[in-house]
Amino acid sequence: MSWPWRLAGWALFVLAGPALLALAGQVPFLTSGRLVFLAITALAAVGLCLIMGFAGQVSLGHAAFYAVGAYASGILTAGYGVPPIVALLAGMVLAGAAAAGVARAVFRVSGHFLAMATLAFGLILYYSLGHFRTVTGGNAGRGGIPKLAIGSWEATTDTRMFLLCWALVVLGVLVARNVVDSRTGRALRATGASEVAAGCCGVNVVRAKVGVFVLGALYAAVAGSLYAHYVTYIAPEEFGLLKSIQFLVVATVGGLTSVWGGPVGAVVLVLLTEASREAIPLFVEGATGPYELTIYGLVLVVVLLLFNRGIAGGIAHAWRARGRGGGGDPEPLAEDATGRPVPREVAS
Amino acid sequence: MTLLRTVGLTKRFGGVTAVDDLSIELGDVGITALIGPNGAGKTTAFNLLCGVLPPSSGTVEFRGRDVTGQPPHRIAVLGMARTFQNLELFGDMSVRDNVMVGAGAHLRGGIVSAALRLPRHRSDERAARERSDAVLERLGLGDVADRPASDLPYGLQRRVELARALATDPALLLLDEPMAGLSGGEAAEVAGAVRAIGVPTLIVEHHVETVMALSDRVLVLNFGRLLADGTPAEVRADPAVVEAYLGAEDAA
Amino acid sequence: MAELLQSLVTGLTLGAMYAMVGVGFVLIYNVTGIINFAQGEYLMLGAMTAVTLVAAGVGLPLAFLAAVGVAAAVGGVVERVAIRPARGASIETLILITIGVSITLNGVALLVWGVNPRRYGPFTAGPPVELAGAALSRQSVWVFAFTALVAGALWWFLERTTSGKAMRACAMNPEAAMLQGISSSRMSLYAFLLATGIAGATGMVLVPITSASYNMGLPLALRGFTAAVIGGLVSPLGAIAGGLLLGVAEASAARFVSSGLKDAIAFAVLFAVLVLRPQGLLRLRLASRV
Repeated sequence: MSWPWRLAGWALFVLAGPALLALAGQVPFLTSGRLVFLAITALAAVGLCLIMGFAGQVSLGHAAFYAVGAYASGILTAGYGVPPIVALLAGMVLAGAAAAGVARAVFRVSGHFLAMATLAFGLILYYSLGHFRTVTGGNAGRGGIPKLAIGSWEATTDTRMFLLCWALVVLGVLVARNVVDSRTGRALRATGASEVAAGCCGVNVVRAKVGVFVLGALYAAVAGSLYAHYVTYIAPEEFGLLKSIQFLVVATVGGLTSVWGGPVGAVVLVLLTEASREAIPLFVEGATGPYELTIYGLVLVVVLLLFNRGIAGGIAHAWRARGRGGGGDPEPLAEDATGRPVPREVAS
Repeated sequence: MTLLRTVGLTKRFGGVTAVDDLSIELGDVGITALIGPNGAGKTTAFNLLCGVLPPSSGTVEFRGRDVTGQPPHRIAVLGMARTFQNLELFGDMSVRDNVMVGAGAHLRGGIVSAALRLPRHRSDERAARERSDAVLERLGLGDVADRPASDLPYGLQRRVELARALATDPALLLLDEPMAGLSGGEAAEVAGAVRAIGVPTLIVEHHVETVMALSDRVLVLNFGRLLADGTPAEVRADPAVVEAYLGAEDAA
Repeated sequence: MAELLQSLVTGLTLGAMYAMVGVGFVLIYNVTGIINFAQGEYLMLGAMTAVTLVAAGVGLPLAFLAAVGVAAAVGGVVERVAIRPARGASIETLILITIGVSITLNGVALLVWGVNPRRYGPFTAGPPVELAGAALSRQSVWVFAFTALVAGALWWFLERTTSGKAMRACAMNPEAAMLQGISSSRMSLYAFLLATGIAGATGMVLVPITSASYNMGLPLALRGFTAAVIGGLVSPLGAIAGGLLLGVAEASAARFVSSGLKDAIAFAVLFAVLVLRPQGLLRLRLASRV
């Protein structure tokens, strides 16, 4: 894709932030507060896409690193008066270290065992958060976290916070794009496609998998810090399995194999949930309730079965395929959600 | 100069001995064929040589260094490249990207220089790109370089795997049945390419005639053991080989 | 001594619960290669169905049948609609699909039944049974009986009936089974029906002990999965043994180490087994594969 188009694409992406804000002003069900959560989720999901879509490793414990970032920021700023940026960096370091440790253990196995091990890790952290009361405030959590401040600028309003978060999302996608489009990125994708072949091409497969896991965790940690400073209060409830699954659904719907998967998925899911919260009562008498779970679940299954590359992934694939009409080419192998080729159906 | 040496290389899986006390030496010239009936242990031998499988006992020495038990990426960086019996392409990556993975074997840039687009990254990309383009041209893959590898017809896919292996700038090329599934014409093309490449090669193939014509030396495996080692003519005439392998071919 | 025994008794009760969930995982995994992340939700469906019916005046036996029926029916639909179409996909995609099913079932249960837990009393009323100084609640006895019954019935089904043997054949060697005329697609459906039916029944039996709530499924599913993995994911008997082991370990840890960390410990066990010994801790050759 030639550079004027690329530049236009990035400009559109950057401007989407303010555009969303403007939309929030007009549409009753979309608040700027909701947008902040959208951006935070998007950021964490970008990291998850790297882990799952590019290196092909399932992570059901992403919320654990989100929690590390949040608690590091919360405890250091509220408890010890550490400047928010320093606390955020500390959160990243802690999350990175935890990710490196977990990854080494978890990548000894693959497939189901790997997925479940990440799940178990996430839950170990979740329950530990509730238990070690003196540090974390236990199940009641801790409050009094200051708003995010960079120097003298403070993110006091929702609008400010959202613009900051969106800027970080843009930065995050840019970094992800840089990594994917590089020797490291190719090595990662190769590892996801065929570990054996990647190894024989000189790729240190273990280091690649651990590396991407750490990178993904860093995204989650930053998102966590943002969350802590926005809500000014953190409790374990936010950081359980449901959160990991939310990141998972956002990333999958957006497209695991696309660096844009995070923001696209977040926008789609937030709009879907908010809109349905308004719309469903119109069709079903007296229907109220938490639709989020059901929507997330259904959307996940539908996307996996029908649009298996997710939205951004599907668009990217169609774009690449546009020049390819014309006969004589064998039908390309289909891919599933994680970008793996799916063997042609054998008659059964 | 000895390029590759194995001493007593053995691999056991439970009760089965797939490779049994294999001791061979390869010099740094020529094409050596590794033949044998199905299940003779040829692919297992390959997996042992390039580090995919650790041996049960015995040693592997490559370019003067003991690489026994080393992980495959270290051996690849030392200069051993391979292709696979059942293609192991990076299917959803473009042909060029596949080859560039190979070309990246000797580069050093990591995540940080990539993320921040440091100069090291730029020079790495240029180097990888140049090397890849050269290999792609050489193997006639220039036209399809931007297509996803899984899109290509089978014959071209085999060529992509060969290109990827070449891009690692190997001192020794291990080819595991590179002609499997190819028509006569395509197989001849591959044979021609292998000869033209000029890198010392160890090739496993079932097209016995092609292999005999192509190689300077033939190793015969049967039940994991080395049955014969010599020129094509010598091996062909060896009665033990005829009985175990070629004899079955004649009868069939 | 009495404390030890009480821990054992509590642990075995817990363990029997986990064992029943674990059995479902093993059945589906061996026939289809899938870990049914949503396994716990079928238990929840059985429990909620039974509770709703009992509250409406329906008798326990009918409620039991309904629990099994509803769970298995949903399981069958899910298998046909969500699992079967994705059969060629990677393990990772299949994992995600079962997760999606799990969340959906959870969400629907929340909308239908709300947040509050419900329950009915034990099947037989009365004081706990005394066993050498340890107390065993009446419902626990029912749970043990149920577990034994299911174990026995499963063994008979898998070893002595044609369908059961077909299922095992499919698990051991799908291609060979196909050549014998066994449809792997049908076996997959049967495995789901069987596993989800058992889960539904388990849910119904557990209500007096754990109460029924929309989110009861996941903790049990995770423990059940741990049980199955400890047993090597190879046979239902392994899962049962694994479940009992896990239950006792958890009860002991809760009593002698710290009850606040009991959940973290349970998952630490799972993590350790998955990462260090995925082939399981038990090598039971007593029951053959599936």
